Amino acid sequence: MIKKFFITILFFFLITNVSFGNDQLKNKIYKNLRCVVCQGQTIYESNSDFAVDLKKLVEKKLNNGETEQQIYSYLISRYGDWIVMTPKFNLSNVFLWIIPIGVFLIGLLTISKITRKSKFNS
Amino acid sequence: MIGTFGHISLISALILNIYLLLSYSLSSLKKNINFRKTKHLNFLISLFIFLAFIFLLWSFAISDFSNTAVYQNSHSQKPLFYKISGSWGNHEGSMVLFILILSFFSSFFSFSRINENLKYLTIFFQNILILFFLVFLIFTSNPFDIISPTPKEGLGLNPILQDPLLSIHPPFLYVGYVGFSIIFSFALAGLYLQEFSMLWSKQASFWIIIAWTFLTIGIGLGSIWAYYELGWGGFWFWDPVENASLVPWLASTALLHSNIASMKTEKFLSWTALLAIVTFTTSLLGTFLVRSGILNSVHAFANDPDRGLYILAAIMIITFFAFLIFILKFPKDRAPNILVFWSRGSFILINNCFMIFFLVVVMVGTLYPIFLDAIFDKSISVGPNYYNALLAPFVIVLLWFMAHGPLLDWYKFNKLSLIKIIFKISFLTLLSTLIVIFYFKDISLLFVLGVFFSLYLIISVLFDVFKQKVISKNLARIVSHFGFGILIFSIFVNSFLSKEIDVPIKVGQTIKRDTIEIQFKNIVKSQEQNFEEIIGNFLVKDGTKSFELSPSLRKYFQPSQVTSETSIKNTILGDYYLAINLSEFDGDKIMIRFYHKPLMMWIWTSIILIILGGFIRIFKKQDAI
Amino acid sequence: MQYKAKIIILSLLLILIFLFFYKVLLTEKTYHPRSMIGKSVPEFSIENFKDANRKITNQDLSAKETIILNFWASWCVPCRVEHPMLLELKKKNKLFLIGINFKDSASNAKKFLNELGDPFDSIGSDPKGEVAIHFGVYGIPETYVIKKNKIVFRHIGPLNQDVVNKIVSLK
Repeated sequence: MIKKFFITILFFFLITNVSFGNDQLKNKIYKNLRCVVCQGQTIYESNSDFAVDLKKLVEKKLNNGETEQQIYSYLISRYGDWIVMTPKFNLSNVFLWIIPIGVFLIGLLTISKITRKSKFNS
Repeated sequence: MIGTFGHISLISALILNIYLLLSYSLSSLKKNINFRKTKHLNFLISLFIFLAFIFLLWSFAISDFSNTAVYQNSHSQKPLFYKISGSWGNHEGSMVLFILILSFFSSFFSFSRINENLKYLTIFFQNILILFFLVFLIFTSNPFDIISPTPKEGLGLNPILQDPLLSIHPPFLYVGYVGFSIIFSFALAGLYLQEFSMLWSKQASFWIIIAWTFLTIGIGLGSIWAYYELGWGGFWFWDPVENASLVPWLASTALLHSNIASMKTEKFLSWTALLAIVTFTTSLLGTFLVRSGILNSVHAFANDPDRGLYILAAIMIITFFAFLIFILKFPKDRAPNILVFWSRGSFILINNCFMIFFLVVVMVGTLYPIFLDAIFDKSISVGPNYYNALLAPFVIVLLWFMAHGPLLDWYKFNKLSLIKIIFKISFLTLLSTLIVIFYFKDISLLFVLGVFFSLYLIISVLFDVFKQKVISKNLARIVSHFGFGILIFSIFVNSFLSKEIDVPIKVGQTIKRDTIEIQFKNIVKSQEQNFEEIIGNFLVKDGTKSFELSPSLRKYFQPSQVTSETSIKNTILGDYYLAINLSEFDGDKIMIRFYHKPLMMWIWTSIILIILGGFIRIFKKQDAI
Repeated sequence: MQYKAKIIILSLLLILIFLFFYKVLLTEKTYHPRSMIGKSVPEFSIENFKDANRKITNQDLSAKETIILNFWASWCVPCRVEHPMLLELKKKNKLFLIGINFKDSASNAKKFLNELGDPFDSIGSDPKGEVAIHFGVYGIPETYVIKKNKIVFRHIGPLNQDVVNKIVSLK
């Protein structure tokens, strides 16, 4: 029972895509880039000089035909991983996913241990 | 002058607090506790802290700039309402509010009909918490600190902070956050005296629902403010400080449900005790994180690592002793160790499993970057995409369990009737989902699943209603779960179907996109007492609807600052939202951003329903589970 | 016996958590960017402030073994404060300085240099701030030390005596 349940969740998890919503690409990128001189804002939300300059640069690169990933790579090589708000999927970040899912699995296991399928009464 | 009185009040409270702790400890060693004395001392402590609070409010109200906190955070030109609410908008003042609520809960608790041993041990533990925070307040964050010579004017006139919603959101948030302290103390007392039982659960439920409801209100208010004032169309940003309030909310939702199960069966007692401790611990952790300067956030308080260190040490000590008591004295489950899977109790456990999962996701997302940075010197960012990716699928599955939990019995299980009900609900849900998909014309998988399962929950609540013999039994659950279903439904629609238009536009021009037409009619300038305003008047048409929106730019004089004010038209099906971009001008054109945000009003309404369910439960006389 | 084990685990966990947050609290919060250090100078080509016929490019940054690159503007107050130290680096330490004038007007920049002195061997113009982003600049003033075409050191904010000493030691 628990196994079926878990497989269902895994299925949902794998088929859902990471980005949520229907933004244009440009705004999507703006919302995914950190304003590095601000406290906790993306360049989309910030009016600082840095944010405005970066927005203009992103727009220029998009018009030149660069892809989203190319733009992120460019900025990461200059400002580090933290300028992109979505954590990359690499060895050190894998814990971001393993820890919560691990906890969930432990929860499921516990529940399966302390419950049983009933003998049905009507 | 008032500052001195305030300071004296705080010190008096501290002295009385120490006296209470000592006299209770000594008399309990002699096995002869004087309950009345404890009760009265407790009241006196509350009284003195309340006086200190009033003195602080008074200092702000009259703009007494000899008080450092007033000088740094207030200004003579602020309207009176904001002067007063400014008193809790800074670190020192908010700590006074924190301690005030700690001691008010303690005093209110003394009126409860709980047996005296248990009641006053709870108050004893609560006063230990008060001790820690009073010492912290008086010795590191004195709200009555004097600055000499007295400055002529204050520093705090940031117009963004002068907002009604923003001003009242901390008190609500704190009643929630800090309210869990009394449950924490009550749990420790129950564990210590080995009186942690179904009776404990019944008596605790009142306090749990109060703190939970107020925390929900506090978070809701913050969200509404962000939507109306920040101008980016969003209402939740996964900002670390927001997350710090969400974590206790998730823990307390788990506690709320676990406690309900504890009232019915003895199986959940030790888990409920653990949750009671964990909930307040996460509140404390949040308090620490927000004030320590660790978090990179727009909300960050003025940071001071020394204060951070004190709170950290205090939290570690409090947490250690709480868990120690739990380890040594947790109630061993007496009931036989098997629970039927298809029962309400089991589904409540599943709810807890999901809540803890969500809690871990939010905590890991918030703390992992800090961890990587401190230990490995690596810098990453964890933004909304992470949270959405991880939470969305699990919320969808949770909805199914939320739907069936209330429809299952506590003890009996009838497979046939379960199957029948699954078919009935699924059929109705499928029909309504098709209607919704047809109307909104979006068939992306995640959207369809989100809509289907939130409708599933909503329809199951209707089944729940029909099952009730008396409508008032379980009304709270019905209203809150119904609200939650609508909330998730609205959030999915809002996320997938929001429209955004970012364009430069000049006076007289009309922009057309799909069914939307935006015409820039004219610019009007106005002058108020503390700012100059440039207002853009726009005529917006959507299909046959037509209305005016007037976003503006404000140039404040003091401090010199420019803000962008949004203009929002609420309709039942969605909000139309317009704002001017501050920094981008292109010749004679201004950059505007326009949003159509479907079902925004439903989001706020559903939060109100969830809160309403809480209030219904608070005022209910008898147990209705 | 089981109790002891749990209590020990609890204590260890809490001590670990305490130490972790303690370390976090102690970590300095100023910018210490590591990105771009060790990397080769990125390619660019911009207007030459002093000579309209030539451009300033990344090649100019490998003209000498050690080059100091400084991003500045006439409207930037901390740039005024650090300017004497740039002059010292040029005159006293005989270092080769290239300036990038960031989002500035040529006439204001010229006035600034006339008033405070010109420590730069060459100056490039970056009116849109694109070259700054190309170098990963956070804000001005910002100074890079380039050796053999590689970025070996960078400092955000105005120079101070410690940073100047460090720069000189890298020569």
